[in-house]
Amino acid sequence: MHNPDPMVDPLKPTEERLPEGLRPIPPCPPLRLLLAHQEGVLPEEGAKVIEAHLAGCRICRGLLSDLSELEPRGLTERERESIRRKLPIPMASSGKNWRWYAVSGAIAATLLVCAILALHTWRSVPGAAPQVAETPTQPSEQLTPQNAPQAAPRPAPPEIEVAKLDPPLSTAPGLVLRGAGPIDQPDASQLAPAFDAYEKNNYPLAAERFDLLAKQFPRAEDPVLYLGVTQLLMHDDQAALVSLTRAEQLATARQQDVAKWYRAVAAVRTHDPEAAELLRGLCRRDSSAYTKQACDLEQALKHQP
Amino acid sequence: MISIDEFNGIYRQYVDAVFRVTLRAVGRREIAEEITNEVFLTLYQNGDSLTTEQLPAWLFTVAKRRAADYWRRWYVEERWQSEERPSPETVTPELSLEDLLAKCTSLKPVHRACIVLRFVQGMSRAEIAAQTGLNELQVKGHLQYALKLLRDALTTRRPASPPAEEMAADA
Repeated sequence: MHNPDPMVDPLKPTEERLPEGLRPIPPCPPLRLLLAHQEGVLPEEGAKVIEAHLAGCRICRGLLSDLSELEPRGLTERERESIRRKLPIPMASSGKNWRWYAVSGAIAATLLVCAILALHTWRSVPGAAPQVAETPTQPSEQLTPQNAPQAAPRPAPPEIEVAKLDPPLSTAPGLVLRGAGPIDQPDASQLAPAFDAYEKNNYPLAAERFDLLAKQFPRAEDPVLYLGVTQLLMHDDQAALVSLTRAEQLATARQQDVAKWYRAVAAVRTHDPEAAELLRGLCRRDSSAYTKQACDLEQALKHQP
Repeated sequence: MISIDEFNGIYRQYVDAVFRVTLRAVGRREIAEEITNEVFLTLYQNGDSLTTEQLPAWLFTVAKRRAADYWRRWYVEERWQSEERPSPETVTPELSLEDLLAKCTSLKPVHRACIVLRFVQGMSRAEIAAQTGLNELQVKGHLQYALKLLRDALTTRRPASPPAEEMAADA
């Protein structure tokens, strides 16, 4: 309702009435038309009417001027989420980003369990383990390789197959947002040769290129993360553990769980004492895409002799 | 189409600004929400070739274009026409509201805005609060303060000076 009679308004308290004796207020356009005119979005005929009114109305000119110093109420968090939910766009990345890794992780965990069972079976077969030679030693006799006691060999690390981590989408052809990024991060053109080798499964070349990028951009998360993953794929596990430990330190929230998972795999493969702790941490995170396989792997490690 | 991760980043960064611009352009919150929704959907569907430098101007341009479409439809369905000025009675008061507002030099823009939004635009306290970013208690306080000054000015016929104790809600 526009321009109600301010003098007679039974719904409003008396203290909110204009003083008596004033000239009647002429009709003014709704505020939204005045503001829309300022924004230049009115059709021509409407704009002309508003323009003419403003030329002759001090109240409306004054109102627009006074309102320019005030800010209307913005979006609440709830409204922000409501708009986002109404968009026919998935709320988060789906498909390969979590489902694919969840399935691959489950397969990897199953393979690990099989490997551990096979290892257990091998170790329990009589004669399978090397005997410790009981060689009498003379005080003056030097230990030689021929007569030194034979220690039981360290069991081979479990063969955990890792799922190859997909390259970030920003390096895909048809780059979405080009333009200068932060100077401590490689841009898409710098990352492309490394990911090209990675995608072609040329892991030694990919590792070399990621290593170079990691040295050039010591604070960037992607080069060192993918270096670690590539090293795992090449079974260079000790080097992978070093890379992925660094990757986890640099990882943003988006990549935290990815880095943790691969670091945990490297730790398991190298019998690192932190392996169980890393897996436990991931297993506790309900919302992680790696929760299930971390829990499975942790359980499998517990049953390892 | 752009990736979901990139879309979500742009959405979080610019949704407030896009909504603000749109709200100014259309004046209705629910319509501003609808248009904001359309703007970001357009971004998702057609934003492949955008560069970072083009944001957020591109978003605002799309928003204003949608707002202009809205007003074109609005003018077809209903339009604001200037009404006749009411004919004077036997005695025409000399003083208009705008004269009185001009006389009260101690009124700040927020006070004048509350008075005009209330008595010229016919807005409720809630609507005034939404338009000005105040809460309703503050709106009430500003209105009471401003009305007292206006009444004093009308009574004394000289510029009103601020009362000794300003209304608490003006703080």
